[in-house]
Amino acid sequence: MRSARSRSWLELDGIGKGYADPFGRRRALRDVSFALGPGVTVLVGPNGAGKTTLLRILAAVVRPTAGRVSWCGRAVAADPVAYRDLIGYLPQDFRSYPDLTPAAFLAYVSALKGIPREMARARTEEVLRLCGLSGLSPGGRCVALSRGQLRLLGLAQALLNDPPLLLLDEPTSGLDPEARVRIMELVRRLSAGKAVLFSTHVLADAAQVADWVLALDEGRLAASSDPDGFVAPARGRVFGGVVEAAQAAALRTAKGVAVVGQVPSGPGRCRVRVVVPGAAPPLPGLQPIPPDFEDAYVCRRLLAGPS
Amino acid sequence: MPKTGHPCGGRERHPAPWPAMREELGLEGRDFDAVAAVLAALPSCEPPPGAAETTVEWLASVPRPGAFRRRLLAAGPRPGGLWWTLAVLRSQTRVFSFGFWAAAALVSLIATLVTLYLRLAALSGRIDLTAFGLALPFGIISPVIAALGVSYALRSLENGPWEVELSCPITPAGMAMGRFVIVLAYVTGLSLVAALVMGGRTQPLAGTEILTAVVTTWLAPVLFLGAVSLYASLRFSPLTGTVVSLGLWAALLTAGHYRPGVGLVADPGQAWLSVMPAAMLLATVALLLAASRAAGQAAERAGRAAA
Repeated sequence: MRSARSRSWLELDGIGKGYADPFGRRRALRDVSFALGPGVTVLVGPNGAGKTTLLRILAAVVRPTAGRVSWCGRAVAADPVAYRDLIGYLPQDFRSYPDLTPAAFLAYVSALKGIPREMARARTEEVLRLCGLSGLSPGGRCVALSRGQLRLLGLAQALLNDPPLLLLDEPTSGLDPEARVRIMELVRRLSAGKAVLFSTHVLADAAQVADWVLALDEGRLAASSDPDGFVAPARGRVFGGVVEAAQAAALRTAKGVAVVGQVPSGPGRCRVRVVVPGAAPPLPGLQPIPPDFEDAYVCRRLLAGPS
Repeated sequence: MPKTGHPCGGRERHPAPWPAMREELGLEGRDFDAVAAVLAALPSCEPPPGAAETTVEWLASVPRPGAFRRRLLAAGPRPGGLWWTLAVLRSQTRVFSFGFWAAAALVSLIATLVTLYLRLAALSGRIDLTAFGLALPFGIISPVIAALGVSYALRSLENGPWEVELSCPITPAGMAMGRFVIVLAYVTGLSLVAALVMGGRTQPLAGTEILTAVVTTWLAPVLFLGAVSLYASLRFSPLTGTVVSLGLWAALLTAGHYRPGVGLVADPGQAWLSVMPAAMLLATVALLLAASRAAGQAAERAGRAAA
């Protein structure tokens, strides 16, 4: 980890969030505490873990029901409007006004962010270029954008005010591989002098850019560590090799074994990659292999128990 | 910054003018204010031992704005103040498409022409205007335009960039009220034009009479229906806002038809400080206050939907 943990800009202390619904009160987040400094922090976790709720709280879109968020020592709740001036936020379900052109939409968001009109024009062109959208037809409306282009437009609007804190909820969702690489490069480049927090399900993306990893599970912070620390529990618990197809099928249904990869390898055989909670391979012949982020994530889930 | 009573006389103490220093340091507003407070609190020209080091260390711990943000901090209005409020109000006009302005104007024009025709026909004795009750077409249509306009302005709650808008340095209530004011101002403008056209063509009206007609016949119902639409749109959904406000309007018109004095369409000849408009204004104030709470609830609802 670089200096991210040594300098904390954003601090969360005991954050909780509950939603009352017709079926009772549901806790989306419980006692989440961590600090965020310059660099890229990746937020991972299964669906429903509370990632989006956490990002919404950090974007000051919703209020936590417990705990405190502070930026450089000042409580966000005391002056949320001033805090929002410091952030760029890409929501998970980003939408635009369909009848506006991308440039007009960015001009609108620029106005909301207090960017003077004369600066907004140049800035709009700049962020469109950064996000690879400068080739769009000038008269084309947002309704005609593909899902990936809309995602890029969402990223562009988040960058408009050159914020010191970027909150990106699944920025690579729906993007083609080329656009994903571009976004990851951009995130890496932007992280100099900024705090970037993004959530993702694509752990390859996380491995590419993470300075720090946060894992949420059932609303609780399950892990907070540097990439090495995140992968560490999986060392010696990941095995790979070529097995019979029948053995691979047995592995898939075996208790306490997670098959994270399986590809055909000749007639009736396949190459598997498995994660186990213990140190012994589930089949003789499987060799220990170095874990990647995905293995580490699966291993943490296995070690955490059946939930 | 007090200059009296200081051993350095103020000028020597801070040779760089504050705006220049602000730009040179390139700090966010509140961070700069903190540095300024430290400098202002120094008891002498020479900082006490350790003070400079402490300040430099603190400066290293706060985010330094990027190149664009530095220019923005130097040039742009920051959240708060009248200028900012006006800029926010102007930005909200972008939410309305040309189609909205054109459709509202066209409907108003048609309603004005029909009303004008009825009044002229009544003056020439060809029809009995009392057969139409007091709800002449323009008086019926204006509140409908207001109610639909407010629901339309809040359409981003359902399928638009509401989350992005909420993450900008504006309060949800401020944004909702801004849109409400824009719709009301536009409908009032249309009503004033219509009043002048109808007043001039049917009977010579004095300025105060035109004002009375606008206030009692159109403005009060427009305010009332607009406020109902605003509250219901924020509290439930824009579609609900439309249905509730139009349903209420239909009920009031019907009530007024059968029991004169109960409905909301007043006789332009009535004193404009009659009980009915006063009651409507009170109701409107109450609804506006409620709407400021509902804006926050709308944000929570969006969060709950995602969770």
